Amino acid sequence: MVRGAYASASGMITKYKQIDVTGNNISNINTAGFKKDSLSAIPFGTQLLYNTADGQNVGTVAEGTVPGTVTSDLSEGTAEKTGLPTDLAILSDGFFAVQGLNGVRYTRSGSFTVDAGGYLSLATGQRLLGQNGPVRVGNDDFQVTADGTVMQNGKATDKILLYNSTTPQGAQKQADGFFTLTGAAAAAGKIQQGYLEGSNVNLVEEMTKLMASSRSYQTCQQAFKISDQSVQLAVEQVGSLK
Amino acid sequence: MIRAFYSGAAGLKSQQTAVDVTANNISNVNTAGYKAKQEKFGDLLYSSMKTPGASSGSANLSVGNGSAVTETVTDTAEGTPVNTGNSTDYCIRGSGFFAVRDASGNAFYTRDGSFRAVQGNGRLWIGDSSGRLVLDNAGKPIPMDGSGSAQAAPGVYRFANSGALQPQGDNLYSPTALSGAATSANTEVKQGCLESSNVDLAREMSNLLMSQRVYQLNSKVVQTADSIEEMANQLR
Repeated sequence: MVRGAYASASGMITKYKQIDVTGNNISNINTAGFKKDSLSAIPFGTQLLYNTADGQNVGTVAEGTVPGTVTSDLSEGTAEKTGLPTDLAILSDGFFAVQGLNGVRYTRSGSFTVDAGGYLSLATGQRLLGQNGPVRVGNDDFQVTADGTVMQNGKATDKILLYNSTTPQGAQKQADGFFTLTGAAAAAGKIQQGYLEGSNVNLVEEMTKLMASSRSYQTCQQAFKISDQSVQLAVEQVGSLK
Repeated sequence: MIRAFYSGAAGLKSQQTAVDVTANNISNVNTAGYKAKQEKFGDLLYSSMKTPGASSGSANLSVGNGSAVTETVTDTAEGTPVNTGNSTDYCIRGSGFFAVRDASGNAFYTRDGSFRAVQGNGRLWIGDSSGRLVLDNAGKPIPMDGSGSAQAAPGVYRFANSGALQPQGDNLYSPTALSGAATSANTEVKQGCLESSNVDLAREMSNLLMSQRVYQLNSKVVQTADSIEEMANQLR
């Protein structure tokens, strides 16, 4: 088949994936602690072209593009004042550690509630981990200071620890929205009670990416149509027996 | 995509940041000692385009790539002093900052002089609403005397470059490498009055209207660039 058709098709597939990623970002614009993703496209590879007469190579032609990696942008989202004492926002780098089913998971989302056992946990059931295991506050009021110390009735009962990766780019978003940290180490940070960190999705950026991707998709589609028409000409007219 | 699309998008992002800064100023119009922030715009990198037949781009045929907010500058003008009659309220007549120290020993600086009596070590000291102790000119906390006012006036500290102080929230600033270290100064401190914020509502409202119009124009640029691309896609 015509090489151009495959290149345009790969362009359409990559733009389609880009629109998927952008759509996910837009739908999570109000999710607490959500970090926006971006897709990088990489060229597929080049192929050497040979001159049919004497077999000399005349140069290379690119074979289209494939979606590369999806990376998360870990910049801070805007902190919104909710006034709920169970909402915690991290005003610096670092992740909360929560107890998942199969081990410790890391998240930036600070929208905790007090569960049936009196522990601070996320809506999906994972409990927040402090210095001495899951943080228990019971039914009493509690204050969280900037360094994570939990105070109840004037006494420090626990300390919420923040973790960060020792390598740059060490935080990877997993399929369930939690992060894994390579080389997780305790980090100093600033926690604010009564605030919730929103997503770091910039609506204008995502809308312009959406417009650019759909226009590129349309252009690739046009290029594919033209490749298709030239094959049609070759089949119907060039090769016809009359 | 044509460059105009991305220039328009950059313009939209920079106006959004400008509105953020203006909104923060307006919401702090009643905060004692608040200093308004002004955003400064800058243009982005220029690309030079090639004239037909030239081997490289020409400086006379360069096109910009949009705008961005380059910095937010603090307006250090003094706010109007307001008499409150409260003997623990102070305002600085001139430039300089009060110094407060928290329980961990970190020093912060503030223009907000709304202090009160704070309990510590079995006696009353003068401190701010979060319990940080106010320091005098020698760097020591000031005890309260029996009649509800401080024994000495709070100390005033100056910086070589007060515009480079890092805001910490809660009306507090901390020194950075660019601002220089705090030096004690003999500026007059008046008791019983508070410095109001220096936000000029008229300027902020006109900035808001202008940002809105510029945002509208930039979105028109993005729409136009998009329809040009659509026409290019439909050429054949």
